[in-house]
Amino acid sequence: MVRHGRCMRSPLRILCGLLVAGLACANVALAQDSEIDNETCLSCHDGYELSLESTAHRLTAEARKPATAVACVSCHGGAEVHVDDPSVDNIGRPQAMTSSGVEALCASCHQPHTAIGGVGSDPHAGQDISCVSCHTIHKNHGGLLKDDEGAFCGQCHVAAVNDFELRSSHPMTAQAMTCISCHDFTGTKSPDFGHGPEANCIGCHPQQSGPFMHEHQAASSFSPEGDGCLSCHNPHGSPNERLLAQPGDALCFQCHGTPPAHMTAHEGLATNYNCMDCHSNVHGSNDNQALLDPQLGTMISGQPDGCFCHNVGGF
Amino acid sequence: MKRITTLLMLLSLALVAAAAAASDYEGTVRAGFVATDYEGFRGVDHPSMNVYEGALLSLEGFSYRMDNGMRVTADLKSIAMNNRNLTLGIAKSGRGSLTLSHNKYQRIYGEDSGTRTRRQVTNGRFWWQLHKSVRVFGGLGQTEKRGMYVPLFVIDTVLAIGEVDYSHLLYHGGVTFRDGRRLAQVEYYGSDFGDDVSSLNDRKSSRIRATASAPLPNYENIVLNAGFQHYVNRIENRDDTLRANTVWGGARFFYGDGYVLRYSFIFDRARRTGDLSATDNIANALYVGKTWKGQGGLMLGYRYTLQDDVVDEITGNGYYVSGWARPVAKLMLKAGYGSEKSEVQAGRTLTGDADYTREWGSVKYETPYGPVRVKVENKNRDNDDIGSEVDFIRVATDMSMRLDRYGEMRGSYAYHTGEYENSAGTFEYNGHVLSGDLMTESYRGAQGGLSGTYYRAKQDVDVESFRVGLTARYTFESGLGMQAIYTAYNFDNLADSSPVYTEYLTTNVVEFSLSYEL
Repeated sequence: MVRHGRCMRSPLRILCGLLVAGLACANVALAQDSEIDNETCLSCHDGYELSLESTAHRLTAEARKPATAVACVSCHGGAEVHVDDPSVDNIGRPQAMTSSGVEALCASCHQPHTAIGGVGSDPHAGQDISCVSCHTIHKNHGGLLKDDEGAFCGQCHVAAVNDFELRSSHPMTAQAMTCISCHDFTGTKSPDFGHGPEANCIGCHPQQSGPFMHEHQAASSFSPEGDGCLSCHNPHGSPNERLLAQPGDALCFQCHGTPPAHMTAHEGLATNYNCMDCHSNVHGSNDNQALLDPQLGTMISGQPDGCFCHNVGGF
Repeated sequence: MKRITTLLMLLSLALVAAAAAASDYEGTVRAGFVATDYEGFRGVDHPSMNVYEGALLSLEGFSYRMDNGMRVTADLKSIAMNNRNLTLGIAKSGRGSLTLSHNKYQRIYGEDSGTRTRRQVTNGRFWWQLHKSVRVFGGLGQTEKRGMYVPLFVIDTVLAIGEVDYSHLLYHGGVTFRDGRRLAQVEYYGSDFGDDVSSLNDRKSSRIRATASAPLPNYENIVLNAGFQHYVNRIENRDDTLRANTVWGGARFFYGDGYVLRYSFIFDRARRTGDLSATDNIANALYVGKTWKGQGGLMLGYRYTLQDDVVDEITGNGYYVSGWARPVAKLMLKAGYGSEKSEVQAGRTLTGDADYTREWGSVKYETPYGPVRVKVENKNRDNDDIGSEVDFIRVATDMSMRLDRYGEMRGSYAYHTGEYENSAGTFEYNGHVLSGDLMTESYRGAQGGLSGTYYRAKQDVDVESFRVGLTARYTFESGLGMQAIYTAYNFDNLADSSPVYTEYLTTNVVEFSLSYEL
């Protein structure tokens, strides 16, 4: 049951405590304590500074404090040994580090996506996926991503990429969107508990979003009974029309049975019509609780109020 | 609309002229023509819906760097056409950035493009580094959708037409304070949705969020994070408001070489004035992981959830395990298992208790020419109380190969099968997707390419579609080039039952263009 007031106090106290604790922490120098400067590195690795020049990692950073300047050794540790014995094995390379090691390294300056807005599980955790799995530091793509279109996601999510070739799909192949259009890792779209995981969907499909006067609980993750849009739609692609998981009435029957009266009324309503022929406002209705088409009366009898049994237009 | 197109063309010319006067720039200007030919019902085939006939003008991958470090970028595709996809940006690293984007997409419902909806998405974003530790950011965007559509299910055997006409304005702004590993951020998001078909749907929403993250004093390997959000979604004409307050937080603890412990929680309360309903959502998650450098890793997780409204209370217990191993340098194995049981503790819901399980595994092998991957996945949902069950299996494999003297190719195949059981019957399908593309290396300026996708779905559905593309390209030493692309689309619903139209379409598209590399 809902308990107003008291439940909010504890989390707020925790939040305030964390904020105070966080702001009381000590600063951390970005550059590692090393005597090897950039010029020494570039004497062998000529040209690497150009790949960084247009990025926040540029070596010519106009840092106000030397301690916050970005240097080669900020990311590549062990340079003292490497200078004397220039082997690929004795220089720190994020690609060769553990995923948690990379995250810890990048977190020296950046907040991991999970720290900003992530809650619950991180699906990439435990899969040897780290920052450098998606980001390439020595390139100038936006956000230092491996490519502009998010195609790098498909390097691991092989099956998901093929879903966009099914009968109905989101327009990935038409380049009208990318993986990042929905799967946002920066925390700006999540968390949205209570008003819906579908918050992701309504950014582009706001007309399907409520609150409606009469909700379809399955479509609203505001309700404990609903899983939101994903109750009925497969977002990547589907062998059915409109990304539906099942065609026709089968979709409704995954939760609903056929009301007994539908077998007899109107000469066997249920056998002659699809559910959504009449219950067409499946996302929610501002007209009636049964989610019926407000024009149903007109369609059946030619009169707006001809479908009086269902109280269409009122309620 | 013509004014926008003219403006974009002038902008492109200005960018190209500016680039010609500078020394540090790159990009490609492309001009040409697209010819199309259709036979059948256009509303059935998605990939070909956004193809237009007419003059083609694009500025691709444009980048122009000024001496002071400022960079102008542009990727303006199909400027003069209705499937335009435009991005324009100006940035100075570490100082600020402004990005503008515009995208148009149409969805066809009828035999031709007369019955369609068209969506336009326009966005602008910026950030500005006011101080080493202070950054402000913001943005403004608008999504518009207009046109006529055909509902999926109609009561009669004639095509019913619906109308959609709305505008969705989104705006946000915020400030980030950063000092080393400490971060605090405050941001505001607002939206204004106006529906010209039914003003009952008009609404405004706002979201204020504050987040913070920092390592624990004297324990740098423990990082704490927390946040709070207040959300309001108000239906203007019904005096109905949805409000939600959300608090979340957590900690990540890195220990030794490869151990990591993560804990996070969320508490959310959403209330609605229209029907006086309120829902609490609570989640707690704990993950423990260990990585053996370069050899393997293991992650164990547990999640507890609670959803509680005035009538029902539902709890969920989820267990997760996943791992990876690299027995030899070129071989990577990954696998995972997740199980979640959702139980109705109080009240009575329509779907009752639910069991979810998911298993998956993948193998990746690096050949001398490129990687080969195989992935297998099984998902299951079981609602015992109402006799509803879903089984879904997917197998996919892909490979990419690059031969320095000859070119590169990529191929993939996916098989998926789904079985839905419920009180009224069973729906089953299986499908195959085969796709690949090949592009040769340039030989004396000439290149050729071939690409294709074949899709076949069977059992309770019977659909076949394919797409084949041929590319021929020639580049002169001066940077001038010409390119011809032929693409054929085909869609056929072999179990077509529509009394109104035949679910069949064949499309031929030829694109010829001249390009110049700046």
